[in-house]
Amino acid sequence: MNNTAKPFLEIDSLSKQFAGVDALKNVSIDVEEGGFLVLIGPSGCGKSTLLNMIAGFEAASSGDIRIAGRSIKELHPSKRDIAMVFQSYALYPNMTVAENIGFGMETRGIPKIERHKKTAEVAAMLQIEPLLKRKPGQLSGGQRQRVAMGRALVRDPRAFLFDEPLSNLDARLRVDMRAEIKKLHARLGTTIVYVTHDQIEAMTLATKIAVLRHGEVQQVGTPDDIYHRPANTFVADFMGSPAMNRVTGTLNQTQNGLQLVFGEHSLPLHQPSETLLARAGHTPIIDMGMRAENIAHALNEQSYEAGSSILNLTIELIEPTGSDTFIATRDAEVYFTARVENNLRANTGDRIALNFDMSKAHFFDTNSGERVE
Amino acid sequence: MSNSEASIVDDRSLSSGSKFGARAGRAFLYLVLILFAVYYLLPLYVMLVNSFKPLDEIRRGDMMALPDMWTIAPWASAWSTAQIGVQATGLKPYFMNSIAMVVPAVLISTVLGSLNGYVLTKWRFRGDGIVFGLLLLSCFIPFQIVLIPMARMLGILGLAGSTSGLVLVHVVYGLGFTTLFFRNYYAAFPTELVRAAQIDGAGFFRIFYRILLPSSGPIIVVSVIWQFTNIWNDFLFGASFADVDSVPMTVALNNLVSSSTGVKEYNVHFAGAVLAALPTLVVYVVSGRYFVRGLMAGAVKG
Repeated sequence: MNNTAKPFLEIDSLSKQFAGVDALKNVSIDVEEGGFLVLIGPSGCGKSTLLNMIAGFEAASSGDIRIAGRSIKELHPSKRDIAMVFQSYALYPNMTVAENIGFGMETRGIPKIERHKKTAEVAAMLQIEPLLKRKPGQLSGGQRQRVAMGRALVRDPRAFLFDEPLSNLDARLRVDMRAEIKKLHARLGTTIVYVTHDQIEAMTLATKIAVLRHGEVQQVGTPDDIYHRPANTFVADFMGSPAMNRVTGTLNQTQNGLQLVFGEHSLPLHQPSETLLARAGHTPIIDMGMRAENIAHALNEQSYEAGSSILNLTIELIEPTGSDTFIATRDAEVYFTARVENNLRANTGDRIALNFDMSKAHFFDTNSGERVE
Repeated sequence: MSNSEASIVDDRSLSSGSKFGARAGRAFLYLVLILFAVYYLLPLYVMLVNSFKPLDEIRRGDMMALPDMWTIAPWASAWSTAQIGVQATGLKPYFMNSIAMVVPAVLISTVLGSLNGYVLTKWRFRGDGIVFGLLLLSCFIPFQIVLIPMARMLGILGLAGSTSGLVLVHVVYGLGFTTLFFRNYYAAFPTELVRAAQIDGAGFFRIFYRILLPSSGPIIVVSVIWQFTNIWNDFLFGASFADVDSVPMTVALNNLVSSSTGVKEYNVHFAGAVLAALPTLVVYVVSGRYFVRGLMAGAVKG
């Protein structure tokens, strides 16, 4: 958590209506200086609208945006001291790479010699010197991406804004550029706000993730928080691949301790909290979530006694990914995906014993979807 | 084209009879196309051929025959000595009148149209759709309806009978079309480029001439050809609003052809008509291939 660092970029109860529809509802997020904030959510969640408001392309209906304590809400995009990398890269098609990078300096009347010097510096940093004389149309996707970053870098802004910058690249290049953005951030230490719908990008890059849905913030936290303590079922489902397993069951107090019962199965809770113990009395219905990597192949078959956290399930689908194998199991209305060893010898239809690591179980209120701890 | 070619390739594997059928079909196709081409070129042929004949050769009645005696006298006469109206000036001064009217009218309407298109797509404002709709509507107003109000307006502005007055009329009338061209073209132009330029600190006009205009070649050609042809060929506004010293080429040609004094010099009339058509022909030949490309650009890119 970054509670100790003082906020640098503050988004303060920002709202936006488009033609009577709420695009953003009372959004408050802040980032410390040098932080890497990732805005993530499904399409239409308002993440791009929020970025456009930080950039100054769209006006807020209410609320405020501050950088280093000063409101930038009324400032023109060019006066906010930000730089943006667009999804389409938005390179000026009629200008060479060098002119693209230098255009901002040109409009600000910086002398030619200095312009050339700074352009050369940035080109060296991004290894695009051989491209400086070319037009964007002659570049590959990855090269365009670098030029777009160069145009942002040369401004030396207080904050970078990235709008899904990797979504137009092929899978391999995306991984490379992702690493490069991370290195660049480590080297420059400039605050970044980054919009994506790719949860792996969010997890790998961010110091802070804000998950949005229908214009509302679902959760703001470190990647660790978001992944290991999702605030509600939406965040739990959205982050992580494969999606978190979820099952609705009943909390039951037995002589072996608190159990979650669903269908004919039951699993023991690991060190249940007071809240969960109390719920067993009045609202026993609850959702349990568990990630695939916390369900393992139980090799040791002797531990089938009551109270164990091993279930015997039928394999419906086997998905080898190389490093791991995911198996989807099914038993009546209960579905689980588990991550097992990659050399598993099994066929669909086989029974398999799966060990649930109940210390990693998440609980959510079945009605509201909110996390219960 | 490619479809019929493909069908010929397919037919090779069939019997020689159907191969012959395909050939015959193609020959028929070309025959029809050539006939149409001849049909459309015939008037031009008649005009050119007869414009190089002395008058008595035309009177013999064979319109299609090549001249026995080639002469450029009709051309010289049409250009500089033919009787038009009261004076024997030829078409030359009227040609100049038309140039003085067309060039500024085309430039101004194209520049304004491109600015309109830029604002209507990249600087949206409340009610911009209505403004565009009204501009579009102007494309559909028949010329005749505006004659009298326009004459009144020109009178109030003190531009009645002047070349500037005609320029104004044509700019106003052309604006709907040029706006439509540029608006549709710029609608397909990525807004992210405008935003990037805004962050780079470029203002309204700098974004226009550094980012949008350099990419507007095809649509500028469309606008220029369209406006040039329409304004050059306009007769009604020229006949209605021009004064002695601002009469455009089309009106002068009419005066030349319909003058009732002396004999009808058909050869001179033909030469004059070709002279009047020449500038639009030149514009098409020079930039015609961009015309189709530009018209398609907005449509295909989407």
